[in-house]
Amino acid sequence: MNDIISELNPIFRKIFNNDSIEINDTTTAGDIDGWDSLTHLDLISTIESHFNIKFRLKDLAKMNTVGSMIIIIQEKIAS
Amino acid sequence: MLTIKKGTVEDISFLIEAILEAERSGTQLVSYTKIFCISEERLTDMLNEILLEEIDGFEFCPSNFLVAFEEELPVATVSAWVESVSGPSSGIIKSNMFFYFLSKASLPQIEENIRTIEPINIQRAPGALQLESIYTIPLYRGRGISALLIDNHIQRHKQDNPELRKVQIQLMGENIRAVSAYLKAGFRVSERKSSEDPRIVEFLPGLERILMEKEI
Repeated sequence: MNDIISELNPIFRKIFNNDSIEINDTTTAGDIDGWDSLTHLDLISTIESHFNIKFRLKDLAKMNTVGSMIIIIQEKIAS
Repeated sequence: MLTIKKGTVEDISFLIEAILEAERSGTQLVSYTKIFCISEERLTDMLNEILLEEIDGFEFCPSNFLVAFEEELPVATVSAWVESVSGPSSGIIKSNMFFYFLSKASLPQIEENIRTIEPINIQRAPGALQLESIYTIPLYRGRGISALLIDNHIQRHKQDNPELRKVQIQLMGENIRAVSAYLKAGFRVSERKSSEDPRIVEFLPGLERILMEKEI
């Protein structure tokens, strides 16, 4: 999980234009300024490209926290 | 005689009709097709798949709809959910759902479209009951069925969550008839956002967005 967090953190910092962001598995959209529907599109698209994965509709529906996002990314990478 | 039931996947075709007609807001414009650069047929397919997933927390979940039936005929519906009650905002959930169907190549244009309408975007209040996709088929209008469905939603949600204090609805300011109907139903205008940017009417049926709310 920590490996993925260390890869995700720079993505979050870039998308939300904030070098002080430190995500963890409990981080939610409410914890990060500017995390709205527009930046979310960018975030998901960048994560897919970075990890070379494609989320399914069911995956996207389950993404409530960064933690749930990481679990889904781990499953995708492993499969 | 009218009966009111929670929506199910069996009602999806009527729910899609309601979503599209509510989006049109009395015009010919279906905002989602313009914002996401897709045809109405494609939007219908996307909504069908999204509704089949039964994802709570936003408007496009069958069980968040109440449907009024006359015998077996669905005649009216309203979707309601409590905003951000156990997860991200409904806007992010909706973004997630639409993202799945959109091509990466179209994202820059879509993002530009969303930025264009952003000046009149109004945030939903976390913890408040939200109403969307309010629709009655033409023959049954003027009978107070939408108001009945809204009251029914409020009662059901208050029963599940006695702490619930507020119900909100967003609509275009140009939809004067609807604004007047909600004022009569006890709602008040709590926020207005307008713009003079003419590009907005390429995506939305007006230049003013209104938030109406009522204490419950």
